[in-house]
Amino acid sequence: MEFAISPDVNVKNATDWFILNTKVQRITGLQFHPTAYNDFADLHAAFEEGRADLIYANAADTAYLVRDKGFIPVASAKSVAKEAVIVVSDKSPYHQITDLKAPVTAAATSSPDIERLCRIMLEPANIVYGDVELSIRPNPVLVAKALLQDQVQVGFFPEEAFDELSSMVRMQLRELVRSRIYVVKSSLLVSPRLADQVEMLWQGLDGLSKDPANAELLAGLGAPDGWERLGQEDVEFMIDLMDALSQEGEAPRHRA
Amino acid sequence: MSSMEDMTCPGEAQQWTYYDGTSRRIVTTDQETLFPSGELIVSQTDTEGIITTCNDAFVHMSGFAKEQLIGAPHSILRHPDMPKAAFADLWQTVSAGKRWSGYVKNLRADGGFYWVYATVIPKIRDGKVVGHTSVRREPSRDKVNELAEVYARMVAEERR
Ligand SMILES: Cc1cc2nc3c(=O)[nH]c(=O)nc-3n(C[C@H](O)[C@H](O)[C@H](O)COP(=O)(O)O)c2cc1C
Repeated sequence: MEFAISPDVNVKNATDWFILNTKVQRITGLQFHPTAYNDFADLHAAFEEGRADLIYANAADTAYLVRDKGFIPVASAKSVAKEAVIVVSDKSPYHQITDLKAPVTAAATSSPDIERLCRIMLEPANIVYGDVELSIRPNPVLVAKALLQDQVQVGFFPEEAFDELSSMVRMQLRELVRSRIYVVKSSLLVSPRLADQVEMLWQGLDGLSKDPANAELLAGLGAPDGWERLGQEDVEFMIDLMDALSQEGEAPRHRA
Repeated sequence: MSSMEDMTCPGEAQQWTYYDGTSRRIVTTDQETLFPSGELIVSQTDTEGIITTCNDAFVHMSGFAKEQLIGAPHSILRHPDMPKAAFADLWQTVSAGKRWSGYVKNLRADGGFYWVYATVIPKIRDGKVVGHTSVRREPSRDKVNELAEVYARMVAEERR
């Protein structure tokens, strides 16, 4: 079995995902081979070639895997939702979203969920899909740098990545808007091959959450309060919500 | 229906008749509540437009209690400044299993109003349409001003 680790899950904690892989092997009694992907194209190729049996997927990939590939939701991080922040340099003339005018230049890390949330938060300024010239940077620090060096007008950040920037950097930045949507999450999914293991896997993950010895591991995985069961309807609702937020002119999602 | 009882708050009152023939006294004021930046107002309905779930932002922005909303028809938010044609288009589109998007002026429980940009998509489960999901986001003010004029002309035309 293959455990695919998406580029937009806490990449700085890759070792924690490898530890989780070991725990999952113990729970299920099956062999899992973990791969941490740096690139969505490679991850999507793995989906197509059946090289993903277990994955912690962003909402965009969840939509594809659940709706088109029959993947089954297992769990998501308890009481943690993805929220996004639109940020400018503190020297910028923009103090609120509606000060912006189309077209705008933006920098972001590669995270389709955060990008979608940020794009809709630009709409009140009449900025539509084609009005945003987006450049992808390898990490949030480089997104901040692009703002400070005046290379772009706005930066898109996952909330926790922005809050974790050093105070030195944050002092030179200004937050324009932060989402409070509560619904968008990454989901731990299994391929139909593991359909019979879903309940066992969930019980095992729930057990992990209850053991204080795992607190550090869970925090590293972005699930400080442990896991919660993610049902089919929960995930369908999230997919519908994200679908409703897609914008006109958006290219159909890249499916490798 | 208890959830569609007469509105008794201060403001300009009128008797309003819905598409299904039911009628209630509604009250309107010119007090606008602005959409909270960064939030979404979300609700789901059954195939008839009866509200089955809604989030906290919905409760807060509409001014109704959650218990009043669940089980109520979505027209509980219908503002008399909205043209019938807009909702006819919404229903025609979603009944065909397609997505509908548009700017909507909604009525609050206190007679005030709020503008949204809404997207309604069919809720398809096991290949069947079992209801609809509506996600509202903050609208552009330029678009709101533009649509307010268009809707006023449409309403005047519909009342002739
Ligand atoms: C998912 C969904 C969401 C809706 N949201 C609203 C809304 O926010 N405000 C509104 O006035 N009508 C909304 N409607 C349309 C109402 O069902 C109704 O058609 C409209 O209020 C006009 O009322 P009437 O047809 O009884 O005159 C929604 C319909 C659906 C299916």
